[in-house]
Order: sequence, then C-alpha cells, then structure tokens
Amino acid sequence: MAKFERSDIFLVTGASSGIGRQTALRINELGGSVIATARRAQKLADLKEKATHPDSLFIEEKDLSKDLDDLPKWVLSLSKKYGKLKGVVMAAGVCQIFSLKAISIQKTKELFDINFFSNLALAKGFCDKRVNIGSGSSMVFVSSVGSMVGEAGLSEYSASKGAINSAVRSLAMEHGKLGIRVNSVLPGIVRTEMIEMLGDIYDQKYLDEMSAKYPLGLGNPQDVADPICFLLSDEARWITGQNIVIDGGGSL
Amino acid sequence: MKKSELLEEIKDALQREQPIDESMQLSDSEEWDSLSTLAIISFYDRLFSKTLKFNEINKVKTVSDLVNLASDKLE
Ligand SMILES: NC(=O)c1ccc[n+]([C@@H]2O[C@H](COP(=O)([O-])OP(=O)(O)OC[C@H]3O[C@@H](n4cnc5c(N)ncnc54)[C@H](OP(=O)(O)O)[C@@H]3O)[C@@H](O)[C@H]2O)c1
Repeated sequence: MAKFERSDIFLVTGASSGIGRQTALRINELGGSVIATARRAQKLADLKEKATHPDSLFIEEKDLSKDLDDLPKWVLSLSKKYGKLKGVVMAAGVCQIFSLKAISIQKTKELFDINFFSNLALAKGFCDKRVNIGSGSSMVFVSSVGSMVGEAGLSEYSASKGAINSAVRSLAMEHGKLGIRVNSVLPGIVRTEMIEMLGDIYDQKYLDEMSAKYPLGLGNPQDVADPICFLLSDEARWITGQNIVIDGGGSL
Repeated sequence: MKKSELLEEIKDALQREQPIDESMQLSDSEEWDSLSTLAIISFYDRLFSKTLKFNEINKVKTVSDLVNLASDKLE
C-alpha cells in the first residue's frame, strides 16, 4: 500500500471532480500534501472540507486552457510557495463526441489545448530542477482507453489521449536520469461528471450494455485513484514510460 | 527586451536556483548541458525570431557571450 509523508507534495489537476478529486483525497488520506487545482472554486472548497488532513490540502484555482506557455512558470511559483514537488497528476480533461462530419478544427484545437498541450506545459514546469525533488519524482498523465480502442465519434478525443501515450515514452527516456518517472493511466468508463454530461449519448441503456461487457463492471473514481497513488509512490520505482490500462477488463 | 529580463530567461533555461551574472562561466557549469542549450536555442527563436547556429552556441563560454548573441534586440 502506497504511503506518503506530509513533506511529499503533489500537484493534482482536475481536482474539482471525478478521478482528479478522488486522487487528491486519496493522496491526502495516505499522508501526502496536495495542491489541488481546477477552475471551480466552490468545488475545490468542498474538496478541502472532505479531506482527511485539510491542513495539507491546498487550493489553487486555475484555468489550464489559457496562456499555456506561462504554465511552466506557474508550476515553478507553486514550488516556491509550497516546496519542491514529488509528483504531478494530470487529470484535467474534457470529452467531446462528434462524428467527423461535425468536427471543427478550431474546436478540436481547443480540446487538444486542455487534454494534451496543457499537460505538456505542466510536465515542462514539473521537470524543471527547481521544481521537483529529483530522484523519487513521478508524473502521471490521465489518458483514456479510448486511445487504444476505436469508437465512433471519439476520433478527436482519442487522438488527444493518444498524443499523451506517445509523449509519455519520450518524456520517460528524457527524464529517467534526473530521477523522474513518467507514466499514464488509461481508464475505461468511470462514473463521473464527464459521463453524466454526455448523458444524451451515454444513456442508461448504453451504460448497462457496457457494464455487461466489462468483466469487472464499470469503474468508480477510486478504482483509478488507487493505481495512480501507486505510480506516484516509491513502490513503483522501476516503472516508467508505461501506458497502464485500468478498465475492469473492458477492452479485452 | 531589457537585459535583466534576458538574464531571467537564461536563468530559467538553465533551471538554476541561484541568481546569474554576466561573468558566470557556462562551459564548466553543471547546468550547461545539451538540453539547456536546446532550451536556449528555442527561446532565442521564440523571443527574438533568431535562429542560433550550433557553431555560435558552441563558442559560448560565459553568460555575457549569450547576451551578446542578442545584443541587437536589447533595449
Ligand atoms: N470518466 C471516464 O469514463 C474517463 C475515462 C477515460 C479517461 N478519462 C479521463 O480522466 C480525466 C478525468 O475525467 P473525469 O471523468 O474525472 O472528468 P470530470 O469529472 O468531468 O472532471 C474533469 C476535471 O477537469 C477539470 N477541467 C476541465 N477543463 C479545465 C480547464 N480548462 N482548466 C482547469 N481544469 C479543467 C474540471 O475542473 P473545473 O471544471 O472545475 O475546471 C474537472 O475537475 C480526464 O482527462 C478524462 O478524459 C475519464
């Protein structure tokens, strides 16, 4: 079981909801300090209230789709404020379902901004020697099993996640000598706001069908948060450059 | 751009904790590796639309040499 010290500081994006929120709570429960970020202040305040150790869960409101080239400096400023980071979890993301006929390149670029480019900028910030603790540092990207398995309507979303999968391998090669491990998790369907928002398409009938198809049923945020904590911990010290599918067997 | 701002950019590219000054020797500092040279090439391109050549950057010994590569762009 992963265990953290209060001096182990983790930046978690997408912390206002779903997988990011559960990951922030879990790291905090396991003893680590968390810098939780998202746009919705009220949701972040609720998160702090729910935390096991609220005094080591810090809130930073941020829109990650703006001024992407300034994000590395923002990460540097966080490490100056809270201390050097042991890890970062990049769970912020959005899903758009469009058939090719309905795709606009402008909207696709906006999707890539949040799903891929903001993560690359955060990774750049994290890999700055002034930001991370060196040996024992870990980055976890949240990709999606949609990047491995085709599904109609998901071409732009799956491509934005596929970009993560590829970047992870090169980032791992580039930063291994600095003691930074880089991995991604690829969740299958997890019941979160993201799935609720897509309720017109992912209606109850669809979810029931998928649930029957997944050997272990559909996932909950905790099912992804626990493996993320493992990847952040020193127990995963020999794992880097991997895209780890966490989907209850749904893609088999 | 002011010289002080350029020095701040160089410090970022070197990911250096301590302040830098123009007399600082780069060629024998631990921060001066191939990744930081690439970072310097990319920010000269981004900020000054200036493409540094490898032989220019290979000749750099001090921070002052780096500053001189952008001397025409400084206020
Ligand atoms: N749920 C699934 O079935 C599933 C499956 C595979 C992969 N994933 C991936 O898992 C990650 C988390 O998804 P989830 O299901 O937990 O989704 P969610 O409940 O909708 O949460 C998404 C999070 O991203 C944040 N976010 C979105 N746009 C942002 C922006 N511009 N700036 C800052 N933060 C932003 C949101 O915060 P604010 O709105 O407060 O800013 C929210 O905290 C995503 O990358 C998603 O693609 C999810």
